[in-house]
Amino acid sequence: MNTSRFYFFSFLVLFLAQVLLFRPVQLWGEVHLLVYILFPLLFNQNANKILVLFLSFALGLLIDLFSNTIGLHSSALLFIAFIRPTVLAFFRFKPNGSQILIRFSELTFYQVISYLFLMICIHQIYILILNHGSQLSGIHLLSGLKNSLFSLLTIRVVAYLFEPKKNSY
Amino acid sequence: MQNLVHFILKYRFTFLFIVLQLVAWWLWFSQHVFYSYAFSNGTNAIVGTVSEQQATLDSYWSLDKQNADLASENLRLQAEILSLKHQLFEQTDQIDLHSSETNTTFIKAKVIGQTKRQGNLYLTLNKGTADGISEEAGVLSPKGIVGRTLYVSEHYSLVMSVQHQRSHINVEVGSKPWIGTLEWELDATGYCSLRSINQYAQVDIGDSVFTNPYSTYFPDQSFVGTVETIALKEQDQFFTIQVKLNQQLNELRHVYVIQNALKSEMQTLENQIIDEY
Repeated sequence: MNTSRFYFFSFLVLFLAQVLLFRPVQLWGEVHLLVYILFPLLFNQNANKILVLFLSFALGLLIDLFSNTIGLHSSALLFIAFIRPTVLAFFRFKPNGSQILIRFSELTFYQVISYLFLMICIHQIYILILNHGSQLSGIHLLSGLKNSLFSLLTIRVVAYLFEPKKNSY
Repeated sequence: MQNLVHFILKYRFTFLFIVLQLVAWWLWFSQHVFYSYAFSNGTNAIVGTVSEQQATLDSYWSLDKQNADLASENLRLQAEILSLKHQLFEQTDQIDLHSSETNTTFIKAKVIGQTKRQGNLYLTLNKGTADGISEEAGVLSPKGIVGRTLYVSEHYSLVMSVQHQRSHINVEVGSKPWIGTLEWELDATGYCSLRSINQYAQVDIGDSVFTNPYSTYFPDQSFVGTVETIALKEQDQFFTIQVKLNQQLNELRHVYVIQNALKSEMQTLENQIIDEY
């Protein structure tokens, strides 16, 4: 699979997974598994950041169409895609050769979890602020934390599926 | 000019972000856009079909619970039939079995989507104008009241549930009965507040709450829920009553839309007062 195809492949897989598999699942009626956040987080510094930014917005918009929240997820995912290069620089992940994907298996457990959890939390807080504004309360933050923790678990598992094989992208 | 182009190209990542972010915010904060989309969303052909398929899949997961609910409803209906038969037997000549006096039709529909926006809960149903549903029609479930239709397209409808800050429903409680308004406060999932009940009213915890004849959307005596807590704040003439809804909306699958053929006629008549006086 060549590089440009990979952007669209992961876009499509995460979109279908979110809409068909994870959107209907609400653990205990309240926890939402937000797997689509993984899309911008898959790529390292070598990836075309403009393309990732644009595709993140498009993915968010598609998710919005299916959850009656037009503008909410697109804005949040766009924000994540925007801060991604800065956060990557902060974590000092070194890209391996010319591949565009982060190879999670080569990082330590704490590096992977802290990177994913930080991004998921930022995304969740962004959504909460946009959705509830000044009415934001402790209950919302608690549910946001639950969403983040369970999304983190799911995303860690899903990220394995995208793990590049040696000598590929 | 060349400098400007150079500047934009240099910071194209940031510029693209700002432009797309403004678009997203505009979509999100503009109410008009939301409503037109919310409507087309739950209701447009592709999304509607996918939602419908998902709802079918969902209903398999909750079949056990649905079965139990149906069985208990069946039992209640059987008991009702028995008692009605008994009444009929006792006073055959006094019972009017002709039920068209209310001119109401019940249309069965399936809940295919739930949306929360700013805490308010909306439901999408798989029936629309083609099935005889109009806007502002009441929605009931076998266990209690659900809400009223807000927008209706040919095959789908969007319902504003009782868990909505703009929902106000006329209800009654207790033996007298005492009349009040059922409202919803943010985040009180499964509960509503009963307002305008005078502090001298005799209301106890566990009392049943029903709709009353003044309710435009629901038939008289539709079950709402039971009184959970009663409080009286200082220098307040009215009780603060919390009502536990009998129908928990997050597990809702099947509903009935109440279509009153004469409602528009009634409203036209009532509106004349506003026009004339």
